[in-house]
Amino acid sequence: MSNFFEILVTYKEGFLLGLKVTLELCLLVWSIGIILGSLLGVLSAKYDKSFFGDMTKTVSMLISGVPVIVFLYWLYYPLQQQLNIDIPPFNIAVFALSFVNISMVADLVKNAIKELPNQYYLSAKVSGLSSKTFLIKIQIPLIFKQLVGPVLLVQITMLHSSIFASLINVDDIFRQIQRINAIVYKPIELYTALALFFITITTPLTLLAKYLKKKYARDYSER
Amino acid sequence: MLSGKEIYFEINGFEILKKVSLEVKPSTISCLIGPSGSGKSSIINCLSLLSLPKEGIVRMGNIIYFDDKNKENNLKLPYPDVTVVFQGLFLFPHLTNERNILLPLQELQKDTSRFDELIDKLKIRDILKKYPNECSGGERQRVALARQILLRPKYLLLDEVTSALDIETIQIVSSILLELKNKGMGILLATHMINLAKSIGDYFYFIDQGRIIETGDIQFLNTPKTERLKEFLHFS
Repeated sequence: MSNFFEILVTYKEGFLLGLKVTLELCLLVWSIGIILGSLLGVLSAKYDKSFFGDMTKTVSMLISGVPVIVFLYWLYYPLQQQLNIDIPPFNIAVFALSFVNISMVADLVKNAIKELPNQYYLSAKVSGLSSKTFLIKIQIPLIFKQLVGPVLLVQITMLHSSIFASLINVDDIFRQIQRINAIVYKPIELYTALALFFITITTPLTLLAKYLKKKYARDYSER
Repeated sequence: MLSGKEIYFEINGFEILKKVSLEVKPSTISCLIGPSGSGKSSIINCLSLLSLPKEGIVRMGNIIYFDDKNKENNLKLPYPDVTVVFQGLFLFPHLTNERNILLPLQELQKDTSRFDELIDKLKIRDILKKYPNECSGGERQRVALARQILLRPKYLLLDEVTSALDIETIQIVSSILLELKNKGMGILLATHMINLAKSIGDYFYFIDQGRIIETGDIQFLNTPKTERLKEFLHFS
């Protein structure tokens, strides 16, 4: 145990740098994914039976079929080589993971909107409610219930996927751990520390998902 | 007057309404009677333009809101001047019964002075703080009725709204509908409860397989001309 803390203290700069990079990466991927993914989901639901709808469905299908690591490698090596450009690996990782996150969140939002029974819309319509009121007071609260859990789960998946960034030379926590391990060779201590880091981040996220579901998502089933 | 003329409506190629014409006059309760699947709900949906007919004209007063031959000039019906209480009720499940009733009233800045009186008449005060899924079918029907009645529509279209009510509550609802009629509201009541229709209806339409078979005042229910209506009344 003392070894564990000794390594953490000795290599704290490397750890902190890795932590900072991973958290920066995740915060960017989470924000971009949730904001743009929600917008794209709303648009996809609205224009589902149009060229735009077909395009988003195709992109979503392609993205879900390609492993994140392959997508990252493809962007980092062949694409840059073909276009003869040099983009920093961190930016590539943000782009690739955000792209995947946007696609997954958009799918969830689109399905939640499309699954909302049309009857509520009709009911609001004949009651004279405006589209804006229907959106704010009926539609968003109802789809929020369906979305809160799955969207947070996708964000946890994104956090886990962020370790792939180390494979394209992003100095994230996983790469720092590997670097330190190459010097001290203490895999048990170091990978335990890494596991604890992920648990520290994912546990509050999971608890938040449960809390939000409990607070905002009443059980609407028949009693 | 709210009227539909020669309404033809189909879903995925299946004929639902075959050139149906009917009128809902102010200060009148018109009853639409017929077996399940005859097209009663479709008439209500087409008359309220929640479903657009393939052919026909929907008019309120002197204004044509839908005409299949002049679609570019079609207008939106002024909800909630025309409003509907659906068979499925469609209360918002995340709002309490009280919020379900008050939300449209507050949004439209309508008078809420009759709220307490109607709530007590319909005996739903005890369930105002409950959510729709915590209530019985009959309680939800009364909440849905209260929501639309308090909007003070000119035309109220009711789709089998008494189906889950007990006899005592049907009496209460009947008296409320008669009171609304006397205040000038035009009501269309789709029902298969012949006794209810007879007790409050002024004008009747019998529909079967998407066609209006017979129309008239209460006399036609007592002396039906067609075999189909005789048969229907025999089993009712």
